[in-house]
Amino acid sequence: MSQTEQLSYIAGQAADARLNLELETDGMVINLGPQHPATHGTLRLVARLEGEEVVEAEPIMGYMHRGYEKLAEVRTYLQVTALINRIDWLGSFANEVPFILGAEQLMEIEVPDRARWIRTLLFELSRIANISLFLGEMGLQLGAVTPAFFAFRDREFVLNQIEQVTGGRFHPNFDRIGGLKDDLPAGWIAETKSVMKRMRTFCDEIEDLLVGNEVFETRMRGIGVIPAEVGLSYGLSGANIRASGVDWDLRRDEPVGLVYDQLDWKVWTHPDGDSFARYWVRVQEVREATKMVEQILDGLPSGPIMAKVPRIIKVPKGEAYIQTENPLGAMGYYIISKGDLTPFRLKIRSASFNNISITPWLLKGTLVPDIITILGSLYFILGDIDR
Amino acid sequence: MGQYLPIILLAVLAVVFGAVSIFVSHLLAPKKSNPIKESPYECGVDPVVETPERFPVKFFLIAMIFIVFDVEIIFLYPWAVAHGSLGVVGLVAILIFSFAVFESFLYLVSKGVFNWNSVKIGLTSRLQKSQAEASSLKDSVLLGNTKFGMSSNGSNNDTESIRRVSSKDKGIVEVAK
Amino acid sequence: MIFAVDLLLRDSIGLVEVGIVLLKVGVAFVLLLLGVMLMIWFERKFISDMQNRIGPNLAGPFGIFQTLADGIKLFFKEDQVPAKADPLVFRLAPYLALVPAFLIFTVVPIGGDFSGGGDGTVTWWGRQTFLQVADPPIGFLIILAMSSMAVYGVLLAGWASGSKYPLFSAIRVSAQMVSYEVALGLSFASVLLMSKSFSTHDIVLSQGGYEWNLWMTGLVPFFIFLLAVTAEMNRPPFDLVEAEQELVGGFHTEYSSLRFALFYLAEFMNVITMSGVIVTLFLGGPEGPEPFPLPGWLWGIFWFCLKMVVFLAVFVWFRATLPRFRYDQLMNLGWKLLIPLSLVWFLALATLQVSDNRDWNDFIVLASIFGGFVLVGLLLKRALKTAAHNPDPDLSAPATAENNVEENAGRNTENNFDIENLKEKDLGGKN
Repeated sequence: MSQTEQLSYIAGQAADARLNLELETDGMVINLGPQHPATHGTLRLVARLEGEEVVEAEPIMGYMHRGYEKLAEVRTYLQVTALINRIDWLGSFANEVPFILGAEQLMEIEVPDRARWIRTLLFELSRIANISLFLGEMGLQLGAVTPAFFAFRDREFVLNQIEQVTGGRFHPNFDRIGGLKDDLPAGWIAETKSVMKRMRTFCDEIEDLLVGNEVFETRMRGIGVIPAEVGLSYGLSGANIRASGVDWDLRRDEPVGLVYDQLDWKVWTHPDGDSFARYWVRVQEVREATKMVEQILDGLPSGPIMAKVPRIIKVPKGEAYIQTENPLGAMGYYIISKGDLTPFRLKIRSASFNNISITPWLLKGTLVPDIITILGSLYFILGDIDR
Repeated sequence: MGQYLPIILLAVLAVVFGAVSIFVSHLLAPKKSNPIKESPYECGVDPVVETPERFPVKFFLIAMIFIVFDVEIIFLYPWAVAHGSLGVVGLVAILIFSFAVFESFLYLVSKGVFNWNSVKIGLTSRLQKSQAEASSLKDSVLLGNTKFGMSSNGSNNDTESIRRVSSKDKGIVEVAK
Repeated sequence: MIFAVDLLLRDSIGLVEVGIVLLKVGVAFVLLLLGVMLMIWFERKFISDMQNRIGPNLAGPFGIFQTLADGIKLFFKEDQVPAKADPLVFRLAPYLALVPAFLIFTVVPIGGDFSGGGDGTVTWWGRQTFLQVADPPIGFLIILAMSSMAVYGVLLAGWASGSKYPLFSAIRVSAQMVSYEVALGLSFASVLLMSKSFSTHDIVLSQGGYEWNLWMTGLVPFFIFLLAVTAEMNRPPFDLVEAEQELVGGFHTEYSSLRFALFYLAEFMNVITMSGVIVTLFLGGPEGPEPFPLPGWLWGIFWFCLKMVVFLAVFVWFRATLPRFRYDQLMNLGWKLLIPLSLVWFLALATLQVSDNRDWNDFIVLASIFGGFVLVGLLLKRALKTAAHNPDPDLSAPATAENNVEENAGRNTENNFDIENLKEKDLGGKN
């Protein structure tokens, strides 16, 4: 090869390289959040895009961190329940239960039957209130506004029932060590039964509106598929993992302190693991919860609602970990007590934190609109992530 | 030109309407700008990464294909208006013309120009394989009401089955890679 | 025939002609603005009825002045031009959105005396005229041209904002709008085949005697047109441009005050004018029965408005019920279904028209049309299959995306509309 040829070859290569550089398109890095209409809260998602495709995405949490674990160390047990009400703010009562159960376990208190039944009842009511909102909101995420309004309308009935018992629509702060603050008000049971019927109608309505909608299906089917193995390794829980076909429900598998083992109900799973499956499982869960509530209302035992508990609560030295199946997934409290008025250390295991941690894996290679579908279908609540 | 005067008149009216209302708003509205207000919206965080100037060529490809089709449509219009007098020859001509365009359309489709997630489609074969394995796996193990190992009364067998799934499933993940 | 009626093409143009033209322009202008005001109110009220809400109810009776109040409020809002924006284009874009919205309406006949086989003229002050601002011989093309122009408003607004979400939205929407422009144009062509004229007035005339294009063209072009128009206007379920769950405010994220109001105005004006266009092209314009005598042109206006309101309601109904399409689904629907279908339908209609004039054997014609459909379907299916198995490496995503995406294969399957197949899987969960 002559020198001229070599030189021209090199020049050609250089020209090619320059051309390539010029033609290279830029990726785009966008922030979804902390102030973004879709993250329903202050989750921040940094996504690098290539056209419409997500190359990588990472959730950044902590914009709403309130330090409940540390705050709990200087509060009495009664005061802590007021705090932890605000973790998953849509199903507040469910937050209190595992904490109270843990404290009761340490104090070795036998809770009266009626209190346990009513606890389960309120637990399921808050599950209905929580998930029914998701059922409507999922449509909102995909651009169908109407179901969200239906969900807000019908959730209000459930919240009314909760309010009649506890005095608080959103933050009941009703559970006490040893039992409950009050008994059910008069005439409440019949009313609740009719509300449960209404919620089942709501489920049918939602199925007509969304599950049967072809656009909805094409948006949800096959989007954000979580294989069971991956889901388990990321610590997913609740409906998210049941939608991947893993038959794991703490209500059945670890019914500590609650009366789920005395009820006739069923755990729903779906084999697909995609967004649609997660939605579908949650619809069934609301149905199942309404049935449970009706059973509890029928079988409610009479008796006291409060065990004999010392006036000043000092939890004896020891450690306890109790987790329950909350609306968003498995929620647990690890309580370490040194025999003081306050817990020495409280570790909160909230479901959404684990559920959201799968997003970097899940979002890679999806399209931008699918980010919203996937985030929506994972159903997290910011208070539950950041605590 | 006469017929177009009203149209031009309305266009001028529209522009004047816009300009006047923006001017009035300019007079009425407060003007308290600051650098934070002027920075682009970035969901509440400082814009760190610049807005890109270039964008994937795919979008422009669509625009170019559009031009091809738009020109085709423009050719269809006069024929559609005059087809009565052009008769059979015109029909045959337009059929041939349409077929030529449709053929190029088919070429574009088969090239995958309209596949918006073409990367994934490129992996279809591997993907289908892993999916098939995954579904059979789901049927056999995970759907068989296996209790997850954390359950207090769960037996050892259950935990083992989960472990089996793990190793098998890992294989699938590798296949996908 | 046309030329005789158009006022400005007479030999002698006097004060009366100019007066009538000015009156028509003024009335069209006011009507459009009023229409937008009522349309926004109607949409909010109608959709809130569907959603168990009350909707606007404070400003005026039934909240009818709510839009006015909102508009006045926007006058007092600070007008912000982002530091990174291209100031000139940023300021220009709202006009580019607004003006085409106005202009489409000029060629829509909103009334006229069509009773008893009339040609739609009305006589004012001794001059014959049409009830439309202008009737150029290419009125039809003006509609098409102006709806293409609307892309510029959105595209430039997004590009000039110097911000990511608007840019993203603008790129998206320009691709979406040009894609559906093709389907729109092709379904237009079917109408032309029937009317044999570009003039909108002649299109209405050709549908006289209830030979509306809606059924004369066999329904398909109408539905394609309806879909394409919805996508063209960025109305739900094709409102990807302002999918607030993804792109915050879409292309007008950075716009505030009156500039934002102009976009909003243009958007709703487009809804009105496009409903008018649909009525003109497919539903015989102002044609309708006249149960009791009134001046003929009043009945025309009545029927035109009634038909238009039906479509306005349909657009609101879409918004209330349907989730948004995903981008690739939208493009697939447009390119792989609507465009081939409308092209083939057009050719079939053309063949039928030509054969009608020539007394060909009906059976053979129909059979060959059917054969054509099957052939096109098979070819398209084959092409799609090839695309699925053999993507062009140059056209797939760039190298950076590829490596990362490959790991995740298997979790994101290609969109398909094959729902029947998937439904069976649910049964697995129920058992």
